[in-house]
Amino acid sequence: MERVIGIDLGTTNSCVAIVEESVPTVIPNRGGYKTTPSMVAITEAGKRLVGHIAKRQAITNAENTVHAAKRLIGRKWSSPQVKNAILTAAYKIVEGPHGDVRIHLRDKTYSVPEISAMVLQEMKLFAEDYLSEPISKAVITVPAYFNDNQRQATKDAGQIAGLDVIRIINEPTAAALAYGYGKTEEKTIAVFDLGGGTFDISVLEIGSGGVFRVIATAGDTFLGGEDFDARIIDWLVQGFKDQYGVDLRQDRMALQRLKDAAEKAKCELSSQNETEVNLPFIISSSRNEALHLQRTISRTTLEGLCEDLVERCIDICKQTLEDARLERDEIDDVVLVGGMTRMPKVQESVQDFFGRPPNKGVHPDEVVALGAAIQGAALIDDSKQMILLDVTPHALGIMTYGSNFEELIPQNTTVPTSRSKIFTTSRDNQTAVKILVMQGESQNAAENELLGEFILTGLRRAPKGQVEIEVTFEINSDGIVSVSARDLETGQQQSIQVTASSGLTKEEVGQMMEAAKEYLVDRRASDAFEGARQEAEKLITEIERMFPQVEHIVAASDFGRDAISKARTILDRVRQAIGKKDAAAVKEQMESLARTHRMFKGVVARPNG
Amino acid sequence: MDVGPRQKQAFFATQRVKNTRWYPFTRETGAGSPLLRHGPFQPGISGKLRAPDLSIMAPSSLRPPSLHDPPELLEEVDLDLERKRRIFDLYARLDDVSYYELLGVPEVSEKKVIKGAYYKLAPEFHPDSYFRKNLGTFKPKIEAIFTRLTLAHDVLTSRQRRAEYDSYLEQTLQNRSIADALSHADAEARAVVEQIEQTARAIAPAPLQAPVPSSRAPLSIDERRAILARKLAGGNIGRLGPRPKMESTPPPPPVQVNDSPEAKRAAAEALRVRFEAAKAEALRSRIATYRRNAEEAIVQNDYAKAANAYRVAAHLAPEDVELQNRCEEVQRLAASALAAGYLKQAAYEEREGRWAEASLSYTRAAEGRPDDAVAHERAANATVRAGGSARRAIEYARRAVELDPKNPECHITLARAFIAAGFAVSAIAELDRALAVGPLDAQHKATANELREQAHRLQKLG
Repeated sequence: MERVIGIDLGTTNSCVAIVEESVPTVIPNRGGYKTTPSMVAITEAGKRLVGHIAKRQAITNAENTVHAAKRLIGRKWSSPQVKNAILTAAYKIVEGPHGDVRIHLRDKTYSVPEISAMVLQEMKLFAEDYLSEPISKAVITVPAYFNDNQRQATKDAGQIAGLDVIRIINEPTAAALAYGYGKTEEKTIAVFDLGGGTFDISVLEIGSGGVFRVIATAGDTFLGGEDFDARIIDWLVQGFKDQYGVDLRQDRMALQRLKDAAEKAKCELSSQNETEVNLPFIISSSRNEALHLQRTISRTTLEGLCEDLVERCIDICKQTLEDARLERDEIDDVVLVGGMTRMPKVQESVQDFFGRPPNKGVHPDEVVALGAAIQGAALIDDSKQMILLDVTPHALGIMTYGSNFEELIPQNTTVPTSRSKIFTTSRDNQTAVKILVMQGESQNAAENELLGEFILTGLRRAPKGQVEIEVTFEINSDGIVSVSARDLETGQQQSIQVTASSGLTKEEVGQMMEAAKEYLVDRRASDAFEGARQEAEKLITEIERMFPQVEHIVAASDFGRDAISKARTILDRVRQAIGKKDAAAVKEQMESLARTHRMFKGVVARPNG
Repeated sequence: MDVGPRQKQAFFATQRVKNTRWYPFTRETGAGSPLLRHGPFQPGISGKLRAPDLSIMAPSSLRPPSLHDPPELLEEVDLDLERKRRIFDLYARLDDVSYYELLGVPEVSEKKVIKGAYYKLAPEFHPDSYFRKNLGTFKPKIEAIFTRLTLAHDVLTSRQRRAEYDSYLEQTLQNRSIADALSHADAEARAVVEQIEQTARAIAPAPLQAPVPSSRAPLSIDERRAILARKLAGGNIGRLGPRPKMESTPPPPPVQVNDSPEAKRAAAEALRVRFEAAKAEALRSRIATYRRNAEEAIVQNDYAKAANAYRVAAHLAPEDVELQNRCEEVQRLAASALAAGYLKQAAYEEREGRWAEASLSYTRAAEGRPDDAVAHERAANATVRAGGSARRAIEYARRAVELDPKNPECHITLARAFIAAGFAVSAIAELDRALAVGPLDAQHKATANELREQAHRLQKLG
């Protein structure tokens, strides 16, 4: 049976896990770390960097390093969130051909799913290295409050990365799966997930027999660690301006350094009461003097700066409990997920609100990936008795005459589900009706997210209000929305599967997939070359070290002179192959190189020389 | 209230406005018939409530599989026959079982038991248990079952919703039994006549040859009365079926005693007279019993029973005008009581957002209470919300306004119905009328403003 990996594609960090012999395990990356920064960079030489190495060079290559791509995924160019991101991001965000968002790095423009695919591809490689087998199936997590367009874009990213995304699941739900895995007692829990970019709260019931039922879920897709960082940056920038009259925002590199420093300070303030931000030579003044930023920030200051952010989280919790029709004391446990929940103020507020200390038994950075892996295993393996009953986080409906939003499936409805409603024509002799499928909570259709549209044609001619059309919405267990419309009198019926638009066409996804495959081939080849090069160079170094001694010992004999010149030829050939980056040629020479190495060693080791 | 053939047609028409799914199902509805839709647990076309008897069933809740396998079970899918049968069977009965029956729990179960039952059944009917398996037409069935299980769980685990559902369940049962009782009067009357004739026959065997009644005889005053009574009864009570053929007393033939065959005849005639007398006596006593029962039932507020008894009595004595009038009066009381029941049922459906069903129930209530402005107003409102026929909504709302022109709510609802029909100008005029009634309270004001905006938007678009 093919194995399924679980990937937590985070705003700032990503994590991959698998279930091995019933034990969910996090797969470490090549550096041995369990999480990998969700960062992608293109170097001056056009080389792609992902993860830690991308993060390490972010300051010097800020304009070509993408972080927090998740905040842009599946969003429209015109959305306020994108406008906001353009102001703060060091990389260049441009408009795509379908009103979507693209990112310009060096001389190429990438779609957001492509960037995310680079991270996913990396995670896939780690898993393949670790398991020594090819992997093609994955469960990927998204914030519970993601809409269908964002989910589809994430799915596209998986496809581009060469993954069959068998399911997209919600991050807090995944965390709950990992929390409840193997436990038998029945419980009602709340998962408080404050990550790098998004906030989610889910209330679940863990039932007997491996049933996980989500009761309610809510969140904010633009509230996370990044926003806390931004508050610190604002504070530092303002302070610097007050002191020197210089705006650090003008300098992208300075901004990137500030970003790093702010994140670091925030993390440090989780364990210390005070920390110093020290950025020498951050900018030069108008008189070309070097200016340094040096400021002390206390935990209290940080808490003051971010008070409203924490409050927003708690307000959403309140609303969610109301939606779930639960009292605070009916929650048996509160699980904290996401790096931001390390902040003492967040923990305190959660404890105050729920009236109980939060559970510390799960690892906030790894639990989501573990849950995704658990869900993957449960889907593929029939013997695993585990069922996840999730809900739809947003209401679904259609736009009716006068731009009103008519809700068909309310928020927090357990999926799969279906509902129908009857609508009538709004004009005399109307023969076609356009059905706009929307997602959101606003009464005004324009404020909701458009998922798709289709036209029901061939209605019989009749005065307005007389033709009755029944519209049925269905969400299946894969989260796919299908809508059908039927003329009640004639039985004429049309239906569509609403494929939420990720901003990419099918062809584009196909092309990007090909490009990613090609990259992978190159990447594999360069990995192979790198391995061979390192091995060869090690031998070359040793041979060269022994060369004078060997030459001295064997120079007397013809045979020796011959051997020396042969060794020289081999070294030259290997060096040439390395120079040409020809992995095959290097490997070809490896045996002769190794033989030479052995012979040299033998000569050197011979007693009395 | 009679559930005559016309009414059934109306049920049928509104039944389609139900909010679940259709049956791709040909066994019951006949091949090629339009797809039928049922509301959840709406006793309708096929629905007979099998109420509490199932509560003792095992948690599996499901009846033994049907004896013959419909061809649908032959479909090649990744499911074994047993499972296919189970899915098929439950799917077919989904609308006929109560939430309790669906989950296989007694009606007195604690929340924990209900949850347990749901958690046990949910994995079996959750599509994820059959991930990437070929389920063919069973997939939508499984999903429909799962959806209903979830609804049952959601309702029964919320204290408030469960209480509401319980009283709703009781109310629907009651409404049904009233409606049933009312519609069974005919059959009961026939049965009574049959019974009486049998009794009379036992006393005096009926003559071998029925004498020829003089059909051309002018109508007696009694007969005229009977026809009048029938006409009166025919109004909104609903018409009784064809009267069972009763041998009404024919004019006595001339008595001749001379002849021996004449004597035989006379003997037969005497027998016949005795038969008729016995029958008339039995009839009289039966009518008296029914009247007594009816009056007793009225004392006990059981109008359905009373109406039923009176109908049988009136049927047995069509010439008794006083009885006919009383019968009519009680029928109205019963209809009103039933309407009250429907109002309760509708209120629950309205709270649950099951507008299509609420619309149906309010409509029935309005029919039972033709002078009740609120019932009409609610019927119109629910019809609009359900996305039902805007014309019908307008009719009801108009009637509501007519009945209670001082109530701003009636005007607002009429405006809402106009908007649903796309008549922006009429809607605005109606909102003005609502304002003219007097100052509106905050909620009405907000609604009126919102509707006005909608109407203006409509106007712009139109």
